[in-house]
Amino acid sequence: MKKKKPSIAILAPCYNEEKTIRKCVLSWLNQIHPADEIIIVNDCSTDGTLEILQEFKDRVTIVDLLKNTGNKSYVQEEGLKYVTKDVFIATDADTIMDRHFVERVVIAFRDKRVHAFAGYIKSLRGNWLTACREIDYLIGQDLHKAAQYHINFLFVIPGCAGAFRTKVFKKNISFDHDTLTEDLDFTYRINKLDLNILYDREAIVYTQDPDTIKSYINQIRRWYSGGWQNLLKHKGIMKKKPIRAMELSIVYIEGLIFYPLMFIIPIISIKAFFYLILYCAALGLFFGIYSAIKRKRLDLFFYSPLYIIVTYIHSYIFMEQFIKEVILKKRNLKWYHPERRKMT
Amino acid sequence: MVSSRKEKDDMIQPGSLSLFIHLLINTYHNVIKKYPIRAFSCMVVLVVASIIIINGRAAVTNSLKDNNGKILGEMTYKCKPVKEAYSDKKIILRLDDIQAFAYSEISQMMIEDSISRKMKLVLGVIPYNLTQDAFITNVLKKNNCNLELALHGWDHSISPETGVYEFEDMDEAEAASKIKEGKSILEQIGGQPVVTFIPPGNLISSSTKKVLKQEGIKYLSGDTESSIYGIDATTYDFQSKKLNDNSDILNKCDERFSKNKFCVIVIHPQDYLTDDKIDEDKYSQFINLLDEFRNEQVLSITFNSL
Repeated sequence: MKKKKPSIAILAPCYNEEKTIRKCVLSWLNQIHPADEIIIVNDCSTDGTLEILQEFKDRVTIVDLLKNTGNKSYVQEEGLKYVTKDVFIATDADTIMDRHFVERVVIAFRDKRVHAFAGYIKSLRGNWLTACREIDYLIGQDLHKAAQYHINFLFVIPGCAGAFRTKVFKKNISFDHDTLTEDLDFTYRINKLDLNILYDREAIVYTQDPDTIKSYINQIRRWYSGGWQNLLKHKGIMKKKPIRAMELSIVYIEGLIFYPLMFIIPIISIKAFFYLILYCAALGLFFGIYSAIKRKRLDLFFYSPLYIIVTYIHSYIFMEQFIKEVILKKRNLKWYHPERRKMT
Repeated sequence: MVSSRKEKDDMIQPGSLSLFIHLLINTYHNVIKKYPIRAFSCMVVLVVASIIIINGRAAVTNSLKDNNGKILGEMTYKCKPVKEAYSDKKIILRLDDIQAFAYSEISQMMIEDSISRKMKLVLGVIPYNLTQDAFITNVLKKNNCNLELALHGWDHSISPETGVYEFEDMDEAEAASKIKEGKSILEQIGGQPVVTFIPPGNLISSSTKKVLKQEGIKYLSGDTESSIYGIDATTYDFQSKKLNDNSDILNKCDERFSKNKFCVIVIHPQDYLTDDKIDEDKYSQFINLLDEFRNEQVLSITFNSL
C-alpha cells in the first residue's frame, strides 16, 4: 500500500531580522519539495523586517502581532494557530534550509510511527567563535546526538531544525513559556509521552551563530539556565527509565564534576593544570582535524586551539547557572537579542 | 533588550566520559549491530593478533631469561643518583663476585636494597661471559650512576692443580690482555672508566701490579698486605663459615672512623644463600646492617670518588 505523503508547513517567528530574513525566506521557498504553507509570525519588529516580508506576501502567510510578546514560545504558539498542514517545521528567522530539508521531512513523516523530527545544524562562517561553535555542533551531533538516537533518548530537537505532527503537537505537547529553552522543554515532553523522534543527519540547516564574546556568553547563559530549568521541571522523566537517567547524569553530573575542575586544578597544582591544558589542547586539535576533514573547512583546524577558551566560558556559565537556577532558585526568563550580521 | 529572538538550542556535553560512552554506543550500533559478521571477524583478527604479539614478546623475553628464570630484556634505563648528606663517617661497601649466570637474584636484591637506602656500592665484577647475561647486565646498567664497577679478575678461576688464584702468579703479557679486555667490558656496561681492581682471593703478582698501573687502575682493593686499600671488615667469617655479627662490623668501622679513616666492608652475595636459595634470615641481617649504617648517618662512598 502506498504511504500517504504528509502536507508540510513551515513556522518561523521573527523579531528585527532585517539582516537575515530575506535570504532565509528564499531558502524556505526554494526547496526541492516545496512546503505547502509558510507562516512567519512578526513579533512587532521595529526595523525593516515587515517591509521585507511584504515582498513575499503572495507566497507566505504573514502573521503580524499587535503587541510585542518578547518571548519566542509565545510567538510560536500564536503562529501554530494558523498551521493547517499535517506536519509543521519549526525554524528560525536566521536559519537557511538546505534545498532538500522539506523533502527529508516528507520522507520521514510518511512513516506514521514518526511523531517528531530532528534535523542537522551547520554553522555559517564567521570568525573564530563561530568556528568553535561549528566544532561543537559537529561533536554534539555526530557523536553525542547520534548515540542518544541509538538509545532512543534524543536530548533536544533543535529549535531551528525540528518538525512535528501538528495534531499530536497541538493536543499533547504545545509551547510552554516557563523556561528559556522551549525546544528542550517540548523535547522532554515528547520523550515523556514516548513518542518517536527521527534524527536525520541529511536534513541540514545553516544558522548564524554569535560572533562576539558578549553575544556568545548571552546565548550560552540562556542555554544552560534553560537546561537547568527544564531538568527541574521534568525531573520525573528518569523514573523507570535507567537509560534516560544515565544520559542526563552524563550531561549534568559530569558537568558538575568536570567544569569546576577546570578552575580548581590550576589552584591546586600548576603541573596538573599543564596536563589539563595539554589534554584539552590535544582533544581540541583532534576535533579540529576531524571537523576540518568532515566539513572540508581548513579554518576549523586552525581555530581549534582556541577551543579551550570556549570550554572555559562553558565551564564558568554552567556553574554560574547551576548556582542561580538550582541553588539560589533565581529564575531567569529574560531573552536577549543577539547581534545579527548581514547574510551574504 | 527583551526579544522574541530565537536561537538554535543544542545542549553542549561537558567532559570526556560522555565522549567515551557515546563513542561506545555509536560503535555498537553503527558497526557491531550493523555488520556483525565483519565486526566478529575483526574481533577475531584482533584477538589472534594480540595473542601473536603477546606470545612473540614472551618468546623474546624467554630467550633472554637467565639461569634463575628471571625475565630479562635489553631496556633503556635512566639512573637516578642517590643524594646523601655529608658525613665524616665514610664507608665503602664492596660487593664482590658479581658475575654472569650466578647469584643473579641475590645480587640484584643487594644492589637495589642498598641504593634504596641511599648507599652507593663498589661491585667486584667478574667480566668473563658477562655480556652474555642480559639480566645482570641490565641490573648494572639500570643502577650504573650509583655503582662503581671494579674489575674482580677475569674469570676468578683457581688452578685445580696448584690452588693458585688467576692473578696470583700471572705473567705480564697474559695479565695485560685479560685486564684490558675485562676493563673494556665493564666500561661498556657501566659507562664510566674502571679505576679499581680487586684481586681474586686478594692475591696478586707483581707483574699484574705493573700492568694495572699501565692500564690506568688507580685503586687496588685487596687485603692489607697486598694493597693500599685494605679490607676493614667482612660480613662473613671464612674460618667459622658464619656471618659476622653486625655489631662486630660496626665496631671495626667505628675504630676506623675514630682515626678519621674510611671503612671498607667486603660482602659476598653467595654468603646469603642456603642451598642456592635466598636465606631470609641471613638476608635480613644484611638489611639490618644497612639500616644501622643509615641510623649512624654514615656516608657510603666509592673508590672512584676518593
